[in-house]
Amino acid sequence: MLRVSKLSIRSVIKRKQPVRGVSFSVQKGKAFTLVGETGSGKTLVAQAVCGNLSGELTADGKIEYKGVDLVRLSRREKRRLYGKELFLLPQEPDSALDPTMRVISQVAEVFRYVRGYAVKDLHHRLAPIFSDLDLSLSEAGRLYPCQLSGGMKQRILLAISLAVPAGFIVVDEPTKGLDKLSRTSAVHRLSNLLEKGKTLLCITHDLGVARELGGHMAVMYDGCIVESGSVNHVLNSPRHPYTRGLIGAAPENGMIPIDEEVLAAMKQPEKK
Amino acid sequence: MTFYCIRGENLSKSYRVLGRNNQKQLYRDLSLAIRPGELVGLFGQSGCGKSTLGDILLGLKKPDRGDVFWNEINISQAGQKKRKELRHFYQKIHQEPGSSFPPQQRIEDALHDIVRLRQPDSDHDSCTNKIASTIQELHLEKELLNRYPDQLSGGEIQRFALARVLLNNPVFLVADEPTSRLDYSVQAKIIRLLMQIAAKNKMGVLLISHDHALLEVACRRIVILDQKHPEM
Repeated sequence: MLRVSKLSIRSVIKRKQPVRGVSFSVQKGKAFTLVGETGSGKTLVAQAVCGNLSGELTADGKIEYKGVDLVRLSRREKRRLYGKELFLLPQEPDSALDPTMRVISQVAEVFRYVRGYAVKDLHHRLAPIFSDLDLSLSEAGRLYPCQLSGGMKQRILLAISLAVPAGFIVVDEPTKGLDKLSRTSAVHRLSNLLEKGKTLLCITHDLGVARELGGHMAVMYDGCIVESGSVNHVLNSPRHPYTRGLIGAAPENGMIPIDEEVLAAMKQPEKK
Repeated sequence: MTFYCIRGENLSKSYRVLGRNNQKQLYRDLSLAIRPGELVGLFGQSGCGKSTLGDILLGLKKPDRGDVFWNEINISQAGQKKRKELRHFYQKIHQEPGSSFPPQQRIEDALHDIVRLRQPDSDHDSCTNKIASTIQELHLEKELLNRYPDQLSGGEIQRFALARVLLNNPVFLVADEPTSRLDYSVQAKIIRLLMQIAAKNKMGVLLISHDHALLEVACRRIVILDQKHPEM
């Protein structure tokens, strides 16, 4: 469904290449998880797929979505695709919510404009969507974004994503900062999206998320993919020392820091 | 008699739920004591009062009932002067370490201010040396001192927050979810550093986390906050 080939991202101002030669493909109806530490470039890959790289960054290579190269799309073509077929659930839900509006108004607005729901129908149309996400329309819906927890804000964005018929959803760090209970339900909701036939590109540092979503995964370090394959294969028999280090650094595996020598050996000189 | 750097005795805390007419009890008659150099985990789900307990021990919030002892001195009965004298030995690092640093000030200047606040007579060179030795202990490069907080990665700023705390020579530290927004490799590095420093500096640490696996690796003793019955 989505094929990324030799994607490189260049920063014009800093004269750096934070992503170099990344290639992977995502199968329809399956999850693909990109894992790696902060600064490895995984969020930039997601932004390139979603067409919202910041102005100083330029992408080279190909990102083919249903045969269309997303890197070379015109502004008008982008508008036709993004938000309708491709949807991004951002890392910081705050960045996507208006702090001055009650959340119910924000969700309702999207449903009115995208689905054409009449104002008088909105309440009974939205109530089941909210209750599916364990939110109460009359309580949580009346609050402002700053009054919600991180997990609740993510669920509000998920409610908004249900308004659009997007088949491909990019999720950036769905479990960051959440406690165990909220994390479990966040992952469960992502699995539900897969069951509904959606395709997921998930960006995370939590290897458990990759394991629970299944499908394929790639491990990124310093802008490059160091290992990729099926989730079972990568997590159960990792070949690259960095992947082994990342698995060993998880708290349930003893939290052993990655060997500095392994990291130093992998740092590549950056192309200017 | 065992010496504790911090001790909470029969602590109770409740709060009023907004917009409703009822009180929510966080804990009742909870007692907790931490020895110098000991790392104690505090586990519980969001909203169970983990951070509030940390704040009560640090004297930032008042318990409904119960007493807090710093170095065996009851702080609710101690005078303001005594509290002020001990205040900076009781420190905290947050989930968002960036909030510990002014955004418009270079990291080096912020750290200099801390050293001068504690030792007003120290000259520029001795401040610089003290900062250099502290950040070296935390495996931070000197070049990073010239940066502003938003120019540092999550792991780097959290280690600078720890450096800021260590410059106060603390006897007790509340580490409130210090790594919950960091990735595993950086988390492992920071928690291991915290374990080493606690043992070396004889600093008591209350490590607050919702990750039980993390606490099992880092702490010998874990306090589980259940909203009804805290389990020790």
